[in-house]
Amino acid sequence: MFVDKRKILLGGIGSGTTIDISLGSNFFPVDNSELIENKFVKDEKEKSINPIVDYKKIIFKPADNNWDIIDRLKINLNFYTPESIAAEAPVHRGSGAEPGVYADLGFIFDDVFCRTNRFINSFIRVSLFDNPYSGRNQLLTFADIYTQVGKDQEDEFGFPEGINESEISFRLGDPVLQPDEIHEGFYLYWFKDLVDNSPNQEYEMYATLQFNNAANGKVYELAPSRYIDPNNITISNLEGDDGIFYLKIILRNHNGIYKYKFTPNTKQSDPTYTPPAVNLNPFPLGGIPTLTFWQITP
Amino acid sequence: MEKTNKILLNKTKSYNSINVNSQIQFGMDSTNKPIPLNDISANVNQFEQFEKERKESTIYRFYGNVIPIISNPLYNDNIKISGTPTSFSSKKILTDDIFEKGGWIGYYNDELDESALQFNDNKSALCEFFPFDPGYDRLRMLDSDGVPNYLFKITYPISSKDITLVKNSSGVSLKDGIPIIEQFPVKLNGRDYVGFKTAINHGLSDQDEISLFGFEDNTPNETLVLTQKTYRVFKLGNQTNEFKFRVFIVDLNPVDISFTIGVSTIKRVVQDKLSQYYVREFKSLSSSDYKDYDVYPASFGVSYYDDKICSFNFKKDIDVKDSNGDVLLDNLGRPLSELYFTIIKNDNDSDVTVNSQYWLKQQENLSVNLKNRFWTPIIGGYDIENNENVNYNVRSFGDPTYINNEWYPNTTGGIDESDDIFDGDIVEYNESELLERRLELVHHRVNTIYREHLNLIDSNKEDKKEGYIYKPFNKIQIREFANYINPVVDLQYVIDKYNITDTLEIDNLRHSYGIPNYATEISPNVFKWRDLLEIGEVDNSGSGVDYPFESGAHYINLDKRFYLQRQDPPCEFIIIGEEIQLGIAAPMIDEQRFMSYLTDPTFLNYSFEDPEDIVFANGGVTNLTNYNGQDTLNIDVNLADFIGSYELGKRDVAGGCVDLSLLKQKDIGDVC
Repeated sequence: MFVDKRKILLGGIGSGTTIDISLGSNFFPVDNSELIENKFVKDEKEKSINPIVDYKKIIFKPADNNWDIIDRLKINLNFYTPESIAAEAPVHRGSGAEPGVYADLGFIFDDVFCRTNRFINSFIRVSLFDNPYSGRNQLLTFADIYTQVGKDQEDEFGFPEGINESEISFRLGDPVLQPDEIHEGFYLYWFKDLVDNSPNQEYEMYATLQFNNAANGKVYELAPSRYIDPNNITISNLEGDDGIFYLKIILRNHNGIYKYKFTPNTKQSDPTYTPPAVNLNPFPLGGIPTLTFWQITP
Repeated sequence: MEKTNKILLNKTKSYNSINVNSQIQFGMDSTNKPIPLNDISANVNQFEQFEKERKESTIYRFYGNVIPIISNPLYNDNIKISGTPTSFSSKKILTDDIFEKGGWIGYYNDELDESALQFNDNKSALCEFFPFDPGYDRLRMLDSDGVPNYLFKITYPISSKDITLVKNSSGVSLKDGIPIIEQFPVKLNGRDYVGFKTAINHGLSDQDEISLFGFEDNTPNETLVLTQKTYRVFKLGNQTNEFKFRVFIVDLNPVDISFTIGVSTIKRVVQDKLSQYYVREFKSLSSSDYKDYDVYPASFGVSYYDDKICSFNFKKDIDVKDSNGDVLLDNLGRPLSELYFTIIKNDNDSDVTVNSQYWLKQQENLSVNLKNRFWTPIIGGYDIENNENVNYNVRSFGDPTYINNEWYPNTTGGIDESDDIFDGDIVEYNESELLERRLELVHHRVNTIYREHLNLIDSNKEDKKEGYIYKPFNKIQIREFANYINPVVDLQYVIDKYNITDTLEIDNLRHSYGIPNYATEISPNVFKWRDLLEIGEVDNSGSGVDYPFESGAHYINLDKRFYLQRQDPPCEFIIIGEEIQLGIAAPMIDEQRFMSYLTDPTFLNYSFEDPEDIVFANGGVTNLTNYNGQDTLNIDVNLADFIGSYELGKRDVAGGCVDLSLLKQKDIGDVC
């Protein structure tokens, strides 16, 4: 190191003398390229990489109100009767949570008996959204369930019922425990990671239901509430947490078992009629859990 | 920032002070950093990032199919059970009404069933097949009653143990080598050679080098030098080239050498290294609560025998790291290269169904630990040689000749699906090859409590000790070792050269030479190992694994077959003739015997000893059981007696190996 030595004579120093010491630097920084290359750039590259997102989907099994898994599920559809529409006073068939009949949709007996294309290609679509507001929700997934000719559409001898008795209902079941039922649409498949990391390990979805009629090309919107005034349909009646259109579904990690449950709001679980639209614990015991949907607009 | 200090000479502070040379330290802190003068751009390589994440991930997700081959030839009884769980009855199915459908033994419905009278549902009330118990609901992978019959687990080899494979009083066990159980002369090319049979698969190939232990050298001057010399395997198989996995031939005169069962063993030798033999133990990485995976029917999936194929998906991620974040090690201390998809039979069938209640009622007088079960506890063993001195022979369990033999675990209540550690396969490891080879796979054996203890339940019947066996462990290769062995690394040379004594320094040296923790130390600080190939890395021989990596996890698809086999399918039969007298003067017991024979599954036919005995004037034979109350009618009854390799009691159904062409066969076309 270079040192600039100076002699300080006592005689030359008075009171309050100060000495300037020059701090010359005989080196200068080369650069930090090594540090930049090996640390800074590496760190920045690492930061630029997105974290791994887990896209694993698993099966969610349907459960009743007590979170006990159910092995069957029935979906009833109830439409405005053609007579009431013609009379310009549309009303739904029956008085409670019951299915309509295929005559209401314009089908004839031969459609059911012969399984015509216009019958077997008709289906319901259950669409699942992230929230119950149509202006800002996103479609997450959907399931199509095609028309069936099963126990509800046949008489005791196994023949199709008359078209005025042929129920518009869809039976779904567990593929192992109910091998004779239809299985597509019975389970929900969703991201395990999202459910596991949700508060209380519960994740919400909102379901809507449409009937796609291959006989006339119409799409019918349905809601799990019987008391719909077709002349007074407002957005606030349909949408939101208290609307009738969106049926809340809770997906849950229940002690390691993944389940989903339909959770109706107060309008959808109207106590003035029984059984309710969302009847997951039917009485007497042993009955099939049932969802009933009614046509919204004629 | 700048700071100015005044420095005063000592003289200015005190009169007595003198000036001295002072040194001042200056801190030269810098609070800013030079910035680069130009832009820096760096590329992120997606492939490199993928490879990096793939190498770092220790998470595995398993999914796939199990293709089962399952049937019920070992049914409890040929009866039809009906009623409710609290009020039930049974009806014996006549031999003539017993049918086989896709390997399942049962009966076609003999009563109208209203619920089966559906039109257009591919069922007919009178042609619906019902297997005898245990049937579909107790044996299939997909259980129609919602109670799983098997538990799936993921396991890995964690440790090893020694067993006494052949009974002996000299303390010889598997660690001492593969036991010899037979010696015989073989004539080849006009010369006599000696052949040896081993208790288990020997794992040898032609020209392999072996050491012989515990043999007798019969030459006058002990010229064989058995303790010092190794011998070559001349060929595999016996005189007729059969049993190549269990028999080998050595170029020795058979009179010069003799063996002692249980004491004489062999070991393979590779470059002067003797192979080690041991049993691996498997530890579970998944739980026993049936929550780790989903099982469901594979779409349209059936096996050749119409058994439904099931699909499964492990919801639980299997992490091959321990709680400290260290990679799990196998029984040899190496990072895991194998996992095992494990299927274990459970005993969840003692439920409240009619059938279960019926069998529980039948066995209510058994001991407490038995009467409430449907299935016996599992025992484990190997499919090895039929010799009463050989332990762990899974097919011999229940044979009174083998009563003093050993199985896994034989005394502590059996193997249970909830166990954490399971006894596994017998393997050979050679330090020269640095590879393990599986010699015998473990089998599990299970029987119904009713069959196993039939004599205690009904003293007129003998136990039916034949059970089902299956292989529980299915290998999943998650990594592979390279086909080459790394050149030996001699650290001792470096240590000696630089006189390194610090252990930390030696460890660092080991690290810098890239010696893995699992390397074998063939002498002090001299190492040898095989590289564990990275996922996606393939060596020059094609070894290596590659499977999808997605969402931070490795996805491995498994397509496994599951065979539920008979323990000892009888391959021979003899026809037994019984003479019976019916009629008013005949012993009453004969009438009962006759009725019993008609419902015995092994019943073949009956014939009249002398047709002249039939008196048509008395109505012919309208009531055969007591011959219309007339005088004696002699009848010959023929029954089949199926004979297996072991004494396991009465067999109701012949093995698939029996030539049944001599027996009458019938099919559904006879009745429907």
